[in-house]
Amino acid sequence: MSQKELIQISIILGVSLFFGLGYNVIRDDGIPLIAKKKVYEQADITELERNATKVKLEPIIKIVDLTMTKELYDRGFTFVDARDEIEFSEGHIKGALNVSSIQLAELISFDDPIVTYCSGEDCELSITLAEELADFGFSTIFVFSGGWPEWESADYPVEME
Amino acid sequence: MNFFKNKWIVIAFRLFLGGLLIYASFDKIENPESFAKIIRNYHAFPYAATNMLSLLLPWIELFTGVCLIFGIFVDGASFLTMAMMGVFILAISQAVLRGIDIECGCFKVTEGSSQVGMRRIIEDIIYSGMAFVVWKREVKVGEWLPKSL
Repeated sequence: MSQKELIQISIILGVSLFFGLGYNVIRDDGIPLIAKKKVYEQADITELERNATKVKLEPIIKIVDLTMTKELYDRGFTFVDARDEIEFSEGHIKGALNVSSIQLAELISFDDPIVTYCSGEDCELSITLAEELADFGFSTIFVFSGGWPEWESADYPVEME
Repeated sequence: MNFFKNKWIVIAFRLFLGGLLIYASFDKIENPESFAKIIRNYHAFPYAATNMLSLLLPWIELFTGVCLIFGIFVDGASFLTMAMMGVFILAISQAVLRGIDIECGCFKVTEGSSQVGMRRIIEDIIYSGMAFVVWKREVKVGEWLPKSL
């Protein structure tokens, strides 16, 4: 690349930067320049009881720990595994559905609570999935932060395919 | 036939790529939030940078397209087109390789966005080939800045 091209590219990038940022400032629905991850609150059991009877307008996404996840599991909540099909087939929470193979809306109603999980603390798939489900119309989504490793080491029900 | 010496081919490629880039930019410029989400789904860029990318990339596409069509900075614009296609090819390939099924965000970021796949990669390789012809062209016609004649 010659110096002439470098100058031309810099000008095109500079003009784009100016218009990109400028248009974002003047429009009503501009977005922040640095994307920040949303942090979700931890849920507790009492809250679950309250929400069960409340009419919800905003979708609720809450983080749940192992104890509460087991409680939700025992109550028969729908579990959705956000990992890929291979990891899913190697072992998952018993009765969980795999995200890549389901049409969730055909199986449960938008008001039914869902629990999502993936492969633990470093995995963001369960949060991403929860946000997508909320966008799609599901009202209550719990994210099991410990995910598959924590569930498996607690010796709770699992299955393989 | 030597593509690089045929002025009609060079002009046709310039107009085609320019039109394509401008068309691709509109929906993204109007919906930065949706486009940022799609970028995040690729899992190929740092999370914090995704909004900035979503604000910048469509405008780079727009101005690069305008430059190609109107014959302004054609050397720089064709190089930028190749660079962008290179980034798109890498981003889509890693998504396909990892088996993540995501929206492409190539032309539309709201309703009707297509999924990523081999077809997109092949298309982008063809586009970067066209941009290469423009970049290495041996005849300059209809270029106003710097002047061709």
